Amino acid sequence: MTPETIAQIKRSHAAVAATPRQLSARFYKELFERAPDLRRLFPTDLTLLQGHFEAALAIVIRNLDDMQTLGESLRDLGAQHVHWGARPEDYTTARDALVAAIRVLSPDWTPALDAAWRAAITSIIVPMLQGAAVHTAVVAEQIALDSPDPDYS
Amino acid sequence: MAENPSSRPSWWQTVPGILTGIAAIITAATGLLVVLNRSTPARLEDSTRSSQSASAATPAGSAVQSGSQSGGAATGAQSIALPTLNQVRFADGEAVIKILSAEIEPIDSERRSLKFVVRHTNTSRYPENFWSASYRLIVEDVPRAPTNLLDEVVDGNSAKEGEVVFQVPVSVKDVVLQISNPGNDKNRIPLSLP
Repeated sequence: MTPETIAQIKRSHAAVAATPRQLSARFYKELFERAPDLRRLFPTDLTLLQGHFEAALAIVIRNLDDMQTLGESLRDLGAQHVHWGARPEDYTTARDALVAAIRVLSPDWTPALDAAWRAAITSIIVPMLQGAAVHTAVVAEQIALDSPDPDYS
Repeated sequence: MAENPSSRPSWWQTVPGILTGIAAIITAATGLLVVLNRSTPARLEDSTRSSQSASAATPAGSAVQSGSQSGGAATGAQSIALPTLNQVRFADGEAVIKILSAEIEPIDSERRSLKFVVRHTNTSRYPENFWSASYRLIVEDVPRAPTNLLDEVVDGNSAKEGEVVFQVPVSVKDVVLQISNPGNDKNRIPLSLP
């Protein structure tokens, strides 16, 4: 992302995240409308999760110009999401839901802003998916090592 | 044709039968004791802890016997003198984490519980996570996760206090509290245990 794009996203984020829980509440609404089956993966009361979500998003936005620093944390987060039941296709659903939530809260939405946010969110979900894949591969390796079948070990 | 049962001596009247019967009674009595013991684990645990508390009540090093935690009874918890470095900053100073107190308490003959009370001050506009994942205790070069679950969010321009608890072997005297943020900035605070 260019410095201009990052600056654009930071301005947009500052506007939509000014009211606590507003963006996250809209995000989960959009997410569950798109994928009602995901609702069961989340707690009934989303208040705490909304706070964690906004905290995580704020960290990412702050580090957009140096996403490498968040790589390990995002990969760990992706590994955790395997345990929470997230599937690879859920990540793009979540990206669409977040873009939709920001769009709803942004009076000056433009195609350029849409593209910028999609790029930013993609930079979050790619390392998360990589972390999920590595975690799954490590589990597969462990199962193979524990297996008496020589074909797997 | 079947024998008349009444013409045979009772099983209880045979020597092996008597011995087996005695063994059965002993087994049953032992089983009852086990069941009774298992039915009162909390009370037993409490009394064990109390006795350990009494033996740990002697001040050691810089530790100070803390006040009671429940009903005025001594708990064996000892306050630990905090180092000069007891506060760390993240995110260009927008997140400040300060250790307010540290306390150590015996769990059993091999382990102790090390509890920190920390305050997370968030001076940014956005929420910050205040959770166990940020805290590790380095014991003999091995990082250990907290044994309790701290799972909070500190809203913008506010602060919260919480507890972070670890288990450490009794023999360990030097530990390092590591506090990190998702950007992988790590701050380390060394501590000496009594």
